Amino acid sequence: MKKWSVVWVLAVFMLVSLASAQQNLVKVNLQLKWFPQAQFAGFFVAKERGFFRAQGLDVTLLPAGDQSPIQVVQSGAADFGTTWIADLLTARERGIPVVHLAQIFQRSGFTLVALKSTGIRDLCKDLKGKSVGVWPSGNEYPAVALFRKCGLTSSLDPRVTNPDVTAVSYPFDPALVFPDKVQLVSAMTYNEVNQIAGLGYDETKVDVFKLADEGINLLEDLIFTTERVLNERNFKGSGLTGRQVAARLIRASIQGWNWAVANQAETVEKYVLPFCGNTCKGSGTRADAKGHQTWQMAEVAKLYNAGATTKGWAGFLVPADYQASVRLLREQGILTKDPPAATVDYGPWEAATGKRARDWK
Amino acid sequence: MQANTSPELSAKGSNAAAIVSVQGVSMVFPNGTVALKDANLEIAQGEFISLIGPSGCGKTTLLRLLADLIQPSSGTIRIGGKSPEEARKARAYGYVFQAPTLMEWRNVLSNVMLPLEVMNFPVQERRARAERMLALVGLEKFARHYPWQLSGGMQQRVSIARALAFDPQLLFMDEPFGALDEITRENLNLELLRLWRETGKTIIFVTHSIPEAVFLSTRIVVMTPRPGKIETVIPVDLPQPRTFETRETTRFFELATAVREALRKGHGYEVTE
Amino acid sequence: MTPAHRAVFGGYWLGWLLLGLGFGLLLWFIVAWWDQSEPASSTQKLLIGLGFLGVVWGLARVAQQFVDTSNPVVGFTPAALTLLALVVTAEALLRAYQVPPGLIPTPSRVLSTLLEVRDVLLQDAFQTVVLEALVGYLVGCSLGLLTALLISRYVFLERGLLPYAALFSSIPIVALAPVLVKMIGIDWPSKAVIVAITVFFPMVVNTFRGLTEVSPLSLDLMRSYAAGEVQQYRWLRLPNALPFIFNALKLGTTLAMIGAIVGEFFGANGQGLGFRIQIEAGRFGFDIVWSAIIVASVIGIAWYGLVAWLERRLTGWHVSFR
Repeated sequence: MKKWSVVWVLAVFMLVSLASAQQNLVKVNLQLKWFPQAQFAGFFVAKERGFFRAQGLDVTLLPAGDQSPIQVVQSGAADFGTTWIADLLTARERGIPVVHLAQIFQRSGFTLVALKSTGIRDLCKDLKGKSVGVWPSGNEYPAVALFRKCGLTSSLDPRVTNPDVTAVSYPFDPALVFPDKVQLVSAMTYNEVNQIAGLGYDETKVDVFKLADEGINLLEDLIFTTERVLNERNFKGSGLTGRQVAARLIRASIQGWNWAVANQAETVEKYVLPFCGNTCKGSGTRADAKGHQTWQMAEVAKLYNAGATTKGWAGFLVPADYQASVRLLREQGILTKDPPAATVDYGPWEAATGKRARDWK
Repeated sequence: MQANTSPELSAKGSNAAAIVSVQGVSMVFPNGTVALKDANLEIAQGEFISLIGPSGCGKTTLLRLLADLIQPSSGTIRIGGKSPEEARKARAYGYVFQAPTLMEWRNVLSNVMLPLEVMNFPVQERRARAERMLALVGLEKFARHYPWQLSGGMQQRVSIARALAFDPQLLFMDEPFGALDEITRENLNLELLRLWRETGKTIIFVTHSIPEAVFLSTRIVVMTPRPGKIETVIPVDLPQPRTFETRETTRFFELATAVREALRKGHGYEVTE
Repeated sequence: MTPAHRAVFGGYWLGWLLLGLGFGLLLWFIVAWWDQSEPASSTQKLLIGLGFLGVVWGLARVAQQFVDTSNPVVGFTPAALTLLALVVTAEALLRAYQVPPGLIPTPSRVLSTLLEVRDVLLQDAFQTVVLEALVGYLVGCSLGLLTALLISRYVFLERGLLPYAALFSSIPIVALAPVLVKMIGIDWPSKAVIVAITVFFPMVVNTFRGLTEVSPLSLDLMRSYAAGEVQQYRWLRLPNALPFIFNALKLGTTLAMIGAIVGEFFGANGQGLGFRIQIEAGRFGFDIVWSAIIVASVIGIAWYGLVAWLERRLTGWHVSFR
């Protein structure tokens, strides 16, 4: 009896391992910067159309939680993440060994929105004494950079007792503070601008100040990981190195993004709406998930289809853009020294695309 | 000895200056228990009356009826010519409970001052009265102590001082020494008698101890249970002032025996019924 | 001097020596590694371990010396030394392993940051503690007291309201914070409301118990004095409830600090300890986060201490102080 049961267990075990060997997918967790929405369309497409699987990856897309993506990846709860460059660089300066792998959005979509009636015409001149709504968890840096660039102090600076600008933090929904509590509110071109319009403040009533136009072009959604993951010799026992996994992830992601941007309507219908619930629906008169996400997809496509992407170098962090971001952050005192060279690693991107970073012109 | 229910004794009682008069008082609780049935009793000024009987005989009920803590189902009670409610509102009596019931947040002196504060006595008078009462019960040295620092017997003395503080004519005592040991109890009995002599109060005292009742009382009201009723009233003719030796006299034993027999008779009544 | 005495004094002597050596070792390493950016060698890490062991061992030997004292400062010495040992060891270990400040800042870094940003933190504390926690606490506690008085007086209120008060006092009201911030707005009143609601229910339940857990004999006593309703409350029910009220007041200090800080996580107007903690945790400024936690803790402890002191003054008669 005993002998037979051992044989049975062995047989079942062998069958199971055979089956998994056939699939042989590497489990990867990718931490998104926010809740599922068209902002991450390329990743959903890569997952649902099997681009990740074709690369041998079984990718789980994690929606945002309490912590910033860097905290999640740093703690090991996710292997890769998407975040913004200012967040990444400041974390690196504070000793968190995060590494930039690929730049998805080539342009900043960060804006500050004000009612026309507040009479704010020129951000720098008219900011003093105003309240500005900002999101916490590393999303406040573009606004901070703007304040500093204009020579203004803010309540985000723990070393200033009487700040020129009051930064009001709130849980992301602009309706909480705008326009009653703050004169200016943070808004992404692809999300909150439309939400604010839904609240009854459309283009005729508000001014949208794109920070990229003010010289604050801090790049946003990018793929990063930690040095620990990157230097893994045997990633989760898959036989692949961390770099190989990163390269495959980048390859599939770029594939997904290219497809999403080329097939926007289908992407929204099939790969965004089924995965996003209440967080997709916009606000007020524009509280309609499909309408809001279609609009978001179009806006996000503008951020993706810019810069390097237009030259066929999707996912490439243009060195000049990177240096501009670093310079800006250093000038504003947000960074105190240049990030170490290891902060950006082109290796996986080069492996994914077959291009060489130094060939960029 | 069914004298208490005879018209002669009732008439005789009402002839004297009755401070407490109970006529045909019954008490039926909402659950149907007859706690007291047709009680009649006259108490004269300056008497020391004990209510004795086993539990359930209605002795505490009777005391609470006198104090207007509960109201009778039928019958009339007069306290100094007033209804019990009027008497209570006129602060005609002090009540000493089974437990000392001291306020633990007040020291001994201010516990004795409590009724004076509630009754709005002049501020200067409160302390003087309370100190006098403490001296009366021999606790003047413990004025600053808190209740928990005193023994059970001392606490009960404080509660007696408190009941006397506003100088009521009547003192109702509901088994005040029931929880104390025998020796403490006998000492307190002596002290209570001294207080009674010195103050001239009328005391109505509930107990279930025969020696205590005989030793203290001028008359003993023997009560029996189911339904609670007054079995008989036994006058106690032991000479005053009574001392420790009183308990060893033949007359003391005779009276104790009489009370015991009256209690047993009540018990037999219950059995034959 | 008996041999036993000598052993005791010998023990103290050895204990102080060990303590000194241990601290010396740890401090020496910290100074030596002040400007290093490389992790320490295994030998040096071993020395840190030895230093810590020396301190602990020495502490264990000298602690006996401080047991029999009525001087609270002297009695506190072992606890203070323990804290110092933990802080110094943490400093040494963090430096030895070169833990990035974005994860765990060294205690020295936290202290210097605390000094540097103290003005802003005090401003934050004013908003969080005075405007939010204290206002909410006072309002919530007074309303709770009033409600308990009404509930204890009117039976229909007791039947109708008390079950809910008991229910609400046992659920984490802080969970309401995001809702309330959304409803009332991001300024300080929303946090004061959170605090008020948090402290309200325990106050109602506790005070009600204190007002009603009165011995029936005491009530008879008051009746025998022909005391009216107001007098009954004045002389019996309220004093009886005082220890219960203080329990709720003490509990309330902690709840108030939590409510105010957590409330700020869901929106703040650019000030407050919770705002500061949230913003700085998001940008890995943990030296400031820890500084804010220190400020919040010190204020929280002082506040609790003040209420406990008042309690001792006013309810010194209670069983718990005998």
